[in-house]
Amino acid sequence: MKDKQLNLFLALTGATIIGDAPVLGQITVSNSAQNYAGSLAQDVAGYLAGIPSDDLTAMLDALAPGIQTNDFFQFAKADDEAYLTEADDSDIRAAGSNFKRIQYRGTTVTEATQQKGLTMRVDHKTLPKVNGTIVPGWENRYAEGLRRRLVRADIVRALAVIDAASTNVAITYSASTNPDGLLRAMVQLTRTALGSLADVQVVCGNASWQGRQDAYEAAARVNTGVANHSDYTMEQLARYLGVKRVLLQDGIKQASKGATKTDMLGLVNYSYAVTDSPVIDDPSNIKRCWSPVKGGGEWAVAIQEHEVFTDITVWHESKIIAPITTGVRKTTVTIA
Amino acid sequence: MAAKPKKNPNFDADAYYKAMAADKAKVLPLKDALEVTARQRAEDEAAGFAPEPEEESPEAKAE
Repeated sequence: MKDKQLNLFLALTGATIIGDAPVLGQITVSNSAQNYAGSLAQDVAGYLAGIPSDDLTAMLDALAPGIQTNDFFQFAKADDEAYLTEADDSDIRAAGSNFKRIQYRGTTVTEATQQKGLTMRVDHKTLPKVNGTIVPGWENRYAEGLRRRLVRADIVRALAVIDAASTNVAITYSASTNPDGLLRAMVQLTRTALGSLADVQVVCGNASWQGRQDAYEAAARVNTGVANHSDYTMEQLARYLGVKRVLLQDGIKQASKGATKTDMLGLVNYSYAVTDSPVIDDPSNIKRCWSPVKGGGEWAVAIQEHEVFTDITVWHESKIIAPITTGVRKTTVTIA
Repeated sequence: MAAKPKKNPNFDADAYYKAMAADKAKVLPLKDALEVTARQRAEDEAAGFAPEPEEESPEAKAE
């Protein structure tokens, strides 16, 4: 963008140029004292959208891939008719007649995205200053911190939806059982329900993964040739199970100040299907439907500047849903 | 394969699965929560055991 157009662009977004005109590539924040309160910080939102994907975002996208929708949207929930097969030659057209007419029925569901966000007050006294002027760029760091916290909340939410939609079998990991064989059995149940393993992924909790490795490394294990599984990477385990990928959910969460940090996922494993770039009508078990926020894009930032502190708000609008629950399997692990 | 079946003569299946459905209904639409619970119950009964109530999670104990 040429300098002339940059000034025009900033004027249109409500940004005020204080002091020197901004240099291309420099982050400029609109000054709310000059504009309405809570001015939408397009450039900080642009910064959030442009930063490279980190582990947390990648984890959320893998657990529950995102698909853009309106904030109120309707879709047809499929019944189990996807694998209906004409095994009786009814797809053969007799001379003079029509082709067989079929219908995919389903129930219509209306959903709405939820607006989720956090506000943080940043005291100007805590900001680094050079010659009495606050060093620019600090809004980006705090906005990024708020965004990560929101993504953590969504990961916990996605795991809760997956858990609620799943059907459970209790299994035991020990020196005398084959943990990966048990995972394979879980995956096969997903296959029976969904018809194929093409888009299936397995999510292992941290304690479950540790338990699996311990079981294979146990000194008491009789040598049947599976001890090498203790060394399996997630890619190797995915190959063995026949699934698209295996995710290790080793995140930590903390519910309140001073509370014990707990695993996001412990002694459980899930298997279910997700399409990485879902559309509204693909057969994923879990989808994260997000609607564009004010200004477009997935994330919005609003900045309210006061005399001695600034309030930063980061928000997004999404709803994590399970359009199809068949095929979501869970195993609860006991370590023996 | 699965853990040894446990038989608990005092187990109230209806209450257990009703509680499970109520729990699932916190994050899923009610119809789905009931459907998943019915599927779980059918599987549990086919496997021949009445599961005992889950132990409190470490989180609940810490609270």
